[in-house]
Amino acid sequence: MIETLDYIWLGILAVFDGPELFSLFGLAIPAAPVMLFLGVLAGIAVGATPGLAGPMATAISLPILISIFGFTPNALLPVFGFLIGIMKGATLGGAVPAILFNLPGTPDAMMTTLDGRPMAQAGEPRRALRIAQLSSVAGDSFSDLVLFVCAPFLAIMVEQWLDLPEKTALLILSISFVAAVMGSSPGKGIFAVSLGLIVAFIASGEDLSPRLTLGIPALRDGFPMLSAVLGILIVGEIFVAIDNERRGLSQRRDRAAQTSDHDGLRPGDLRRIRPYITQGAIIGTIVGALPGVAPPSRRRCPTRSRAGSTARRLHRVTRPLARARPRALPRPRPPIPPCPERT
Amino acid sequence: VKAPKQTVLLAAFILILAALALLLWVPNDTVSGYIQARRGRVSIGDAMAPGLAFGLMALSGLLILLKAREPETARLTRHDVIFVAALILLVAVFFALMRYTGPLLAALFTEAGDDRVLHDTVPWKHAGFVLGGGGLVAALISWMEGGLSLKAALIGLVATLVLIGVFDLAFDDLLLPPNGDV
Repeated sequence: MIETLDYIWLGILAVFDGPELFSLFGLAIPAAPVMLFLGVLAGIAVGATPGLAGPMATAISLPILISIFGFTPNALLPVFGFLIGIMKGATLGGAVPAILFNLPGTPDAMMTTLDGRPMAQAGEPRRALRIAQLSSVAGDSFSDLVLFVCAPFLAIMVEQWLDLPEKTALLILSISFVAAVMGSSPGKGIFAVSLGLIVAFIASGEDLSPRLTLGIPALRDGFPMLSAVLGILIVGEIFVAIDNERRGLSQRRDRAAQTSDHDGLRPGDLRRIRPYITQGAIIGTIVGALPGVAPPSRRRCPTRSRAGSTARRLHRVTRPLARARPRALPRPRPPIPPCPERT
Repeated sequence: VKAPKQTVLLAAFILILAALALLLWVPNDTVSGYIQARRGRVSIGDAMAPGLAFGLMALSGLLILLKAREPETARLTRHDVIFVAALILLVAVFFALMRYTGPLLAALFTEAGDDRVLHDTVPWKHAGFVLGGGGLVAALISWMEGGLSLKAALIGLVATLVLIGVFDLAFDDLLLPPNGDV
C-alpha cells in the first residue's frame, strides 16, 4: 500500500516538477497543469458544441500538440494533460446544450436530455446544470482515484499472474463483451470486431514483406492511426448527424423557458442526489475497468450508453427532482426513437 | 427487399467474403502462410492472426444468418441507399475538385505551367483546398438545410481559411491536401 502511495506521490511530483512552460515573477510554471487546464477549457467548449465530441477534438489536437512539443519524453505529460483535459471537459460540456437546447453536445449526454431538459423547461436550467456538473465531476473523480490507487498494483498483478493463456482469455472476454453490448445483434458486433482486427493486422506482421497489402504501396505501412480515428469516430458521426437532420429526427432547438426565482442548487439537493451519484460512480468504474468496452461516445443509442456514464448518472439523479415538481413540468416529450440498426 | 431477406443477403456476403479471404487472399498475400516450419520447428506464420480475424468474420456471418428469421427492428430502406450514394457522389465530386483544381489552374495561368508551384506558392497551393474543402462543407450544410445559402458558402470558406491558418501558416513542413500527392 505504501508502495502504491509512493507511486502516486511520484506521479504528482512528475506533473508539478515537470518541464517549465514559462516563468512568472521568477516562479517556474510547469507545463502539464497549464496544459490540463487549457484542455479542460477547450473540452468544455467542444462538448458544448453539438456535433463535436471529445474523441474528435483529441484526434484534431494530437498532431498539433505533437508538432508543438515534439516526440520527446518531456512532451508526454503536457500532451497527455491536454488530451485528458479535453475528454473530461467534453463530458462536462456535453450536458450544457442537452439541458438548454435538448441537443446532446456529446453522445453520452443523450440521457441528460430526458431529465435535464424538463428541469430547464420547468424554469430550473441552472439547477440542472449544477447537478450535471456535480455528478460529472464526482463520478469522474471517483473513477480516477480508483485508477490512481489500483492501477500500479493491478499492472504488477497482471504481469505476475497473467501468462499468455490468461491474457488470451481476457482478450476473448473483451471481444465477447463488444458482442454483448451490441444488443440485439451480437453477430453484427462480432463482424465489426473482425473488421477492426483485420485493419490492425494489415502490414503489421513479422515477415520482411508486409502482409495483406494487396500490392498497394500506400498500405505498406499499414493504416495510419489518425486516418482510422478520423474515419471511425468522426466521419461516421457526421454522416449519421446529416441523415438524422434530413429525416428530422433531431430535436427541435427551442430555447429554455424562463428561469424561475428559485433556480440553483437547494440545500436538500446534495443529500438527495448523493446515493445516485455513488451508485452511478461505482457501476461506471467497474464497467469502465472491463477491457473492450468502448467509451460511451462510440455509441449513438441512449439506451446503450455506458451504465456509469455521466448522462445516465444525471438521469437517475434528476428523476426524483423532476418528479418533485410535476405541475411545473410540461408534458413529457416522446422518447428519442431507438437508433435503427444499420445493415 | 424484406428485412429477413436483407439479413440473409448480408450474412451471405459476409460468409463469401470470409471464405474468399481465408482461401485466397490471406494465404497468397503473406510470405509465411498460416503455419511455418523452420529447421524442424513449427511456429505460427503471418497469416494466422488475420486468418483468425476472418474466422471471426465467418462466425459473425453464421450468427447473423441464424438470427435472420427473428423480427428486425430496422432494415435498409431505399432512402438509406440513396442517401449513402448521394453522399459518396458529393464527396467524390469535391475531392476531385480538391485534387485537380490546383494543377489545372497552375497549368493554365503560371508561366512554367508545372505543378511545382503547388508546393510553396500562394494562391496555387491553396486553390484546390479552398474550392474542394470549402465547397464540400458548404454543400453538406446546404444539403442539410435544403437549399443553397450564402451563409453555408461563408462557413465553408471560413472553415478552410482557419485550417490553412492552423496547418499551413503555423507549420512550414506540412503540405495541405492535395499538394503532398501532386
